[in-house]
Amino acid sequence: MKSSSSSLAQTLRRIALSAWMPVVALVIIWIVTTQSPSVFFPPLPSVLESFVTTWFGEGFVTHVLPSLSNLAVGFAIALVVGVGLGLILSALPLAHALVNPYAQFLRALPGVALLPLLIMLMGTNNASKIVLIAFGAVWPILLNTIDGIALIPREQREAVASYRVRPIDIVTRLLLPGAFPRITVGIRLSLSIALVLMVGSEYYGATQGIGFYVLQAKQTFHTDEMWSGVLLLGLIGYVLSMTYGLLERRLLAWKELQSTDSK
Amino acid sequence: MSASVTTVRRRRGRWRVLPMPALHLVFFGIVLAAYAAALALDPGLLRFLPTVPQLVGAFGEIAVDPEFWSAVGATGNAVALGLSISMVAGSLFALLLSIHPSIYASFRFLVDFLRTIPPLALIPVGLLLMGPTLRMEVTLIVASAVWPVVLQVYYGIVHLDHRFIETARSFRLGMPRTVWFVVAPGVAPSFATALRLATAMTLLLAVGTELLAGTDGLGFLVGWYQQAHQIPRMYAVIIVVGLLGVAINALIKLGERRLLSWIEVAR
Repeated sequence: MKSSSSSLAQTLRRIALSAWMPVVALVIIWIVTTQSPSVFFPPLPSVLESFVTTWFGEGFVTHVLPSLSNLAVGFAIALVVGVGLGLILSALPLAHALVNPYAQFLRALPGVALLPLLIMLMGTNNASKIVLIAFGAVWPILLNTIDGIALIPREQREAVASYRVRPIDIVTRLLLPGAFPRITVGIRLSLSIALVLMVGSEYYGATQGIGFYVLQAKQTFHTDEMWSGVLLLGLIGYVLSMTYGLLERRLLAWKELQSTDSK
Repeated sequence: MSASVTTVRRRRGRWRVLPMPALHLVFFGIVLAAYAAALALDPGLLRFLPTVPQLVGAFGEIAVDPEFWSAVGATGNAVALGLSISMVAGSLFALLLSIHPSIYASFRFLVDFLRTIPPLALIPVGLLLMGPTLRMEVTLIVASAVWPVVLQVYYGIVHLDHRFIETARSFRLGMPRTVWFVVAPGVAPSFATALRLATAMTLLLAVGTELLAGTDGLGFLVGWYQQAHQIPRMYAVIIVVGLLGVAINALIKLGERRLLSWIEVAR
């Protein structure tokens, strides 16, 4: 009884500890912006109001859905191509050695620099945005897949080879799980790159999307709408990162189990 | 790890007819030939893609163009400023967070929220508040490159082995020497990772703001040449941007190998 109440108190204390700062920050912003509103920093209540009217109304269909579907499709392509190509290149060391400098170059190239090029090649449609997102997000996944496979212990590969395991089982039971701790590092990087490129692609010659909405609101000096868009983008980023963090913990649960077993 | 690398090397050696640099040259020649063949087969592509001689010519043109070099200088300046401010401010903030677990707990939500805002989302805000200036570009760079530094350095400090610090204390090493001989080497690997992540972020943000907000630099030139239909030059500048990224990465890797070669042994 006593222990449960003390653990409850502990939980409350932990929540209070992690919540006081955001609450205080919110209150300060609220007070400052309502007491001395400026064109640049409109009162927080009106930002929140425009957040609700914009994003829970038709704005959701015209701007949020296209943005999110571009993000999802582009990222899915990057994931499939990155892991698939990573598996192929790990099996072909010579091809990997030859292609590697080009892959390093393309990874180092900031994706936004390709925006004008893609618009010229494909126009300002969703397809060019998806290609940009997929192109920017594929390199961390590809390179980390290759690294991850290279880090799988040699004995495991040899054991698998000597038991003549079917190739499909080698991929799904040895290579992918073995490389996953590294692949997930790539996925994390790729997710944030994809989100950046989603926004960037909507700033340059676009007619819809959250980024387009923010830019337009800025150009027409509707700063409360602009801030509501920035707030939405921040929330999307936060939810995406937290969701993937949870997923990752579940997917990597076996690894922690294994390491505690061996100890 | 080193075992698997040597097997790959050995296997690769068996395939090898020519030394590796020669193979790379041959492959580069094949890539160029395939590109030229594609252009010859479908001349419609010439509207978007430069021929190899055109591209080489464009490199020659921008190499003598003072506008190009001033753009290189502007981008380099923004990157250097943004990166150094991010590294210093991020490390100091990480130090503050590591003083006590409750400080980290208090800041955690804010840090997590701020670091997940897609950086380019702040371009309209920056433009509105500061206009297309170097100050705006550097502010946006720092606003996004500082977070990986904060997290990496924080984890580096927190995961320091306490036995080392206790040993230093029992030898009465003193605060400055403890920081220099124990804390700094212990955090160095995380610091290197932070530098790598922050650099990628910095270059992306610099080129992004230049292209999208019109501040001076290479990103601006890419958009400018596209709108002026100077397509070969546009490609040349894109390639320069990529090479800049490769060069910075190589520099960091070299520094890591020089300064942190002992880590491999420690692992």
